[in-house]
Amino acid sequence: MHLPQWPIDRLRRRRPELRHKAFALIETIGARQRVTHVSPEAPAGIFPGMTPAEAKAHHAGLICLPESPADDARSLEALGRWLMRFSPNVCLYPPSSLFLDATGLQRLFGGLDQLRRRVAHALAKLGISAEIAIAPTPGAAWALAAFGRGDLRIVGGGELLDALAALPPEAMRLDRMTVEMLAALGIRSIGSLLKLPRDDLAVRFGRVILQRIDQATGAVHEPLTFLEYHAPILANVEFDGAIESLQTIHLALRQLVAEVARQLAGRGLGARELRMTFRPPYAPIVEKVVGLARPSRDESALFNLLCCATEAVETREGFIAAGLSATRIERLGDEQPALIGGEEERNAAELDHLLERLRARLEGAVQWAELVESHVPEQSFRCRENPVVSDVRAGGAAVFRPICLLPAPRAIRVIVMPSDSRDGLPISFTDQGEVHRLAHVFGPERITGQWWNGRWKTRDYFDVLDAMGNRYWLFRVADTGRWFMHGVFE
Amino acid sequence: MVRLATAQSCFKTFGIKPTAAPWAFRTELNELNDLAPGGAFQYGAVHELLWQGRSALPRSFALLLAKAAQTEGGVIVWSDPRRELNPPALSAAGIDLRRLLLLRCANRSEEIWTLAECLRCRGVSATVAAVQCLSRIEARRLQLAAERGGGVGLFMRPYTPGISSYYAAATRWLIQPAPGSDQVQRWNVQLLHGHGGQIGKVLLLEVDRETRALHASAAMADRSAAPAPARATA
Repeated sequence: MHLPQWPIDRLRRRRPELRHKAFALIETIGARQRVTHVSPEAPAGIFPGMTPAEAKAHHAGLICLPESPADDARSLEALGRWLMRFSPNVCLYPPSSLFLDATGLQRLFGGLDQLRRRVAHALAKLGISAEIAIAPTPGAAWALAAFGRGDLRIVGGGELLDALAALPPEAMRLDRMTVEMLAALGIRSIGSLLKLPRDDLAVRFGRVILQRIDQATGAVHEPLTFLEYHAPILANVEFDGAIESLQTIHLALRQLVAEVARQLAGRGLGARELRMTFRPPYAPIVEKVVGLARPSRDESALFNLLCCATEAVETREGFIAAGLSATRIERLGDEQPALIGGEEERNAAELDHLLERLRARLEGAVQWAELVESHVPEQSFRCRENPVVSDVRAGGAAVFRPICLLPAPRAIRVIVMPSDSRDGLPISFTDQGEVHRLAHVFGPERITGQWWNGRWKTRDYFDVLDAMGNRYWLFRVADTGRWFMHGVFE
Repeated sequence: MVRLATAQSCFKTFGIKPTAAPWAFRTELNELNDLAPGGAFQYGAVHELLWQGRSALPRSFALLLAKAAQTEGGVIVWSDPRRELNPPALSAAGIDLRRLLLLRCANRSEEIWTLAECLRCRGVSATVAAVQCLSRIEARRLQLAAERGGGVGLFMRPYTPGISSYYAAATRWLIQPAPGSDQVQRWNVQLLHGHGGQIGKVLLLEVDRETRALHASAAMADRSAAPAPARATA
């Protein structure tokens, strides 16, 4: 199976806005840029090998995008895994081909023609253009897929040489120099190539050409490395009747965890994300996803984590089935014994486990604070649910700020010194029915609102000390003269 | 090559109980350390910070202890369900906000569970929380969790002489605000309970706002304002 426009098709699947648009993929080597692939919508004058400037001169609306062979290869593997629905043996042939082992599939799909049609249809639905050929050897199949004519795509053992004879020598998977040399010698088809004496070919072009010919004709077996099938890691249990008690569910969960941990250990993997499913008798499945900070297959740790998560699952009529699957897995080596290894590493690992547990059970309850440059006290920090990496020093850090800052300033009643304007110092204030007589008042400190954000109010802050020795942070809104308590120096 | 395990892990592996002396921390105030049992604050224990009646929570004192207790790589967990904590003030006091976890639990039972989990974790140096009241079982559970984790639990709770019940705690302190001045804020700090500590002695703690310097001295006057030393019954 040959995918002539694989990078183009892949990018279009990823970015649907590129459909029906003319675009080209650009390869950059050093300071040199070169067009490598062109979408079929682009005008005929643009072909691979041009510089982007030349291509744009042909078609001003051409979109130029950088190519990414690594992503292409990754996606090709994903496509290969998807194709395992047609054949258990799929082999990648980068950059843009795949081999499917069709041995014995005729009976399953009602003939090779049917198989080919169904694969082609499925790929067309995915928006991937593909040329598919079926032949007795991988070499011949690739030659027919990449260079064959539309009508001759399924070739049996007897017609193999005839089918290949008309194809150009490139179809033999030869390198560019060999092909050019053959063309210079006037050899334009495989048929004429095969007529040349074998020994002379080896002398002139090296052993590779003989190997390729033999692989295509079937004289030599070509080993293929097929993709390894990764069975999903999951375990299920069904109950006789609806189960409500948490203890029983935990008992079942323990079995599921043991099974999943066994599967993970067998493959040298650790789970990064686990998905629990509970099926009530007459309601949709309840799902709970638990993420881990680092891959793990430790049975008791996973079980404790899942127990934390199950406590938040609600049920009215109980569950009749439960399942557990590892949705994200990572390679994990054998664990080091607990006695060896640094104290700090172990502490850090334990902290990670703690965070996992807290996150699994309490959503959004664990937060980190981050400083933000702002003069307005309540906007000078921000709370986030993932660890903060930046270390911003607040602009107002030099000023002493209360350790307790009320999330919403509380309205208080204040008696102020008599004065003509509304800027007298406070004498006492009443907060929640409690009268505080002030011994000392320091201030005001004027903090202007962020007028560029539509907050015009200016506050005059006072640092006050009551007779008991408690210290509060009050402010008066300059426009309205209303008083609020904003914090306590505790 | 096999690296030798650190002393603490040997203690754990061979079941040797660590003695108080090495597993303790000192604050920057020697006068305060001298009040505490053995001249230092014990790790793997709960320390209670009490406040009386209408005065404010002793958050600054908790911050002082939490900062002193923070080990390299350890984090401070501060339970703040009402979102009253002001991180810039903590940052200005020298706390690395990247190693400060804020807990915002929805209800009390969740908070107690979370506190026990945090205390049990070795990566947490100090767990700070304001608890109104605890049942004896909850208090004991938290104490055991602190022993397992090796960190410090700093619990702020209200104190009313005669009514307050005693929980398992290594030390119990009473913090009361004292009249201050323009630039200096003062507290009276008294050790109420702690085996081997200078129980009943009152210390005057001062914070200078200009320099953020801490200073402690023996309280001279106003001894009558402080309550009579409580007996250790826990």
